[in-house]
Amino acid sequence: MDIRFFLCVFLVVLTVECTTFSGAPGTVKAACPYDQAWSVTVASMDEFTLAEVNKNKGVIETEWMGFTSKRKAGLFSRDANQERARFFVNLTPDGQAVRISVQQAREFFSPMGARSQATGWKRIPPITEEERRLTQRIANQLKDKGCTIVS
Amino acid sequence: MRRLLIAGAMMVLMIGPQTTVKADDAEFTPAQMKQIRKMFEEWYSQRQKIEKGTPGAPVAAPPMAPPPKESSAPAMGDTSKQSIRYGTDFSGGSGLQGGRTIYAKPFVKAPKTIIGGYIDFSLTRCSGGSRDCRNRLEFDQERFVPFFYSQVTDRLSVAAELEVEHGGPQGNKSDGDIKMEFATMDYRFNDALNLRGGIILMPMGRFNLIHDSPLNDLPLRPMVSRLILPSTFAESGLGFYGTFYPTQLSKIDYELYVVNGFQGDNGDFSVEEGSGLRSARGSFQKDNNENKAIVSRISFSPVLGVEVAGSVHHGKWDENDKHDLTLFAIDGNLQRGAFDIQGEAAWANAKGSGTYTRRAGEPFFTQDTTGSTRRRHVAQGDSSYVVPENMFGYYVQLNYHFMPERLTKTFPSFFGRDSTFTGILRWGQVDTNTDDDSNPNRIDRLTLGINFRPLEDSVIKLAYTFNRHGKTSPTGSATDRNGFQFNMSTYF
Repeated sequence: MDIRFFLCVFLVVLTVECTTFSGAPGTVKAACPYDQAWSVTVASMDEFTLAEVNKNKGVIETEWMGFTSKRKAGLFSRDANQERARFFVNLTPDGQAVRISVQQAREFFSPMGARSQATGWKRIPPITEEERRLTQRIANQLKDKGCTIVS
Repeated sequence: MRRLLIAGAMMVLMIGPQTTVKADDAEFTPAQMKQIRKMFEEWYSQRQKIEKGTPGAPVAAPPMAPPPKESSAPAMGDTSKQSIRYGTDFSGGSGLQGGRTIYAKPFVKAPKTIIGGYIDFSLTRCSGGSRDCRNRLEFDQERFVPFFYSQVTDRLSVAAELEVEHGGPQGNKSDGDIKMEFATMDYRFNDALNLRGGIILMPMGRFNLIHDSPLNDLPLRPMVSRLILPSTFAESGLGFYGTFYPTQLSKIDYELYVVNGFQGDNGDFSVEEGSGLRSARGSFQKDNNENKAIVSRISFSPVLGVEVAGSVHHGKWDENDKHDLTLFAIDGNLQRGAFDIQGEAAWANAKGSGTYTRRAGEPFFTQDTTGSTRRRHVAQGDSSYVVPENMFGYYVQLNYHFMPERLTKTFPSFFGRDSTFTGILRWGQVDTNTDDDSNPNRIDRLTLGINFRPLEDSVIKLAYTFNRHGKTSPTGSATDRNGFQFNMSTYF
């Protein structure tokens, strides 16, 4: 079997996987005007430092939050590893309602050996519980401001 | 009485700050606020008396103004100002209050430096000997690698690995080495642009960047990462690295460095059919020509769990500054559930290929049959060696991670929350002269392995390799040199 064939198969598998992967963000659908949903959502993000707030695109992006990772480092289980996370909140008009999705991007950095090199931060899966909590918070605020939560 | 006064003052000093350290307007009742105000007024009047030269009672520490409310939630904000906090277990001398003057040195006092390392021990046997696998059953204390990482400031960091191989040069038989694996200083501008200088791990392929034994699931490194991308592959140089986020889900990492480059002339170093580019790795101090090599890797991760990358290394290899040596590599990694597939392929093209003569008295380097120990020799007489034009190698590896629930329930002290088993299948091939059909240095290797990680950073590995050396052709025949490998390694 030709080696190039092997490599092509590998790359095809990667490509197919790329297209089939999908995130599972927390989502809430609220029946209220877009402007109202937008301002309530922005207000409910008050504890975050926001990197991007674009009403036209319907995108709210927080800055990275840094903290010590729960993954211990080495045999001595040291608190040396770091993690950082940020949220993306996307608002999309959906008929008479607005669909709001919350997604977390999360990265890991270890100062241990070669892992401290290259570009440092490696992507790791988001914590869905944190996504869910932010989604719930937005949903509660929307409800308080008179929006009906459809789903 | 005097003792009582001192004790009282100490009590106030100890209790005073503690009662206010968690202060927050919202947390005080009106009565508490009144008490604080009274304490402040008392302290202020005492201070006034002292300033006027009036002797008085021992002065208590001033009640501190309530600090801004600190949330237990992670601090938000610009990551360029992100403070790197480490655990309190290794906070240097910061707690040595009694020896404050002696230990008041930044490198001891600042709890910003991680000193750790990894250890790597193996037992191998392959009939006839194969790359990294001994002919005889032999224990090998392969590596003891202390490392250092220091976040000097929010923007400045230093990292280094110092490798002691096979017990070091002063071992019982003086057959080991001590050398720097990498030693870099980084200056961070932002996520997209960082300056790095020093002995830099070459971003050629994936494996070299994560070559530490505790990260490798099998006892042996892939052959392509030994002969064509000669891991641990580091060079002296300077350059930039960074990260871009084109979309919410995707990520692009890049590294771009200017380095001394390979030294493959027929002096101390050589590009050779047998050892590939391993013996041609350059000095960390000198260059054999005026030309500088450029090395770069760009990796793209469209979504979490998928990464593809391409790397290139280009420069002159000879001391006459005439012949190009170009390495090109692609690599990829896919993680989904318990499965994880990774692979890497590398091509090398050397201009000026042909047969060269090593003159008597000239130094040169060789490696033992397993390729693990590098030795310096002086040629006794004239001899010839082949600089090949093209080399090629690759590997593909499939990992399956699992942990039987029955084991964690029955033996919880052995199989904890972070313990995993991994089954591994790796197929690899390397050919250090693809233009020569009779090249005996072509090796095909199939590896079946299993490892157990009691902790994420500690691993016990066992594998069996099927090694085929050479190609069956009219001028030669292939030989099988199969065998097993055992390895233990851990970060500490």
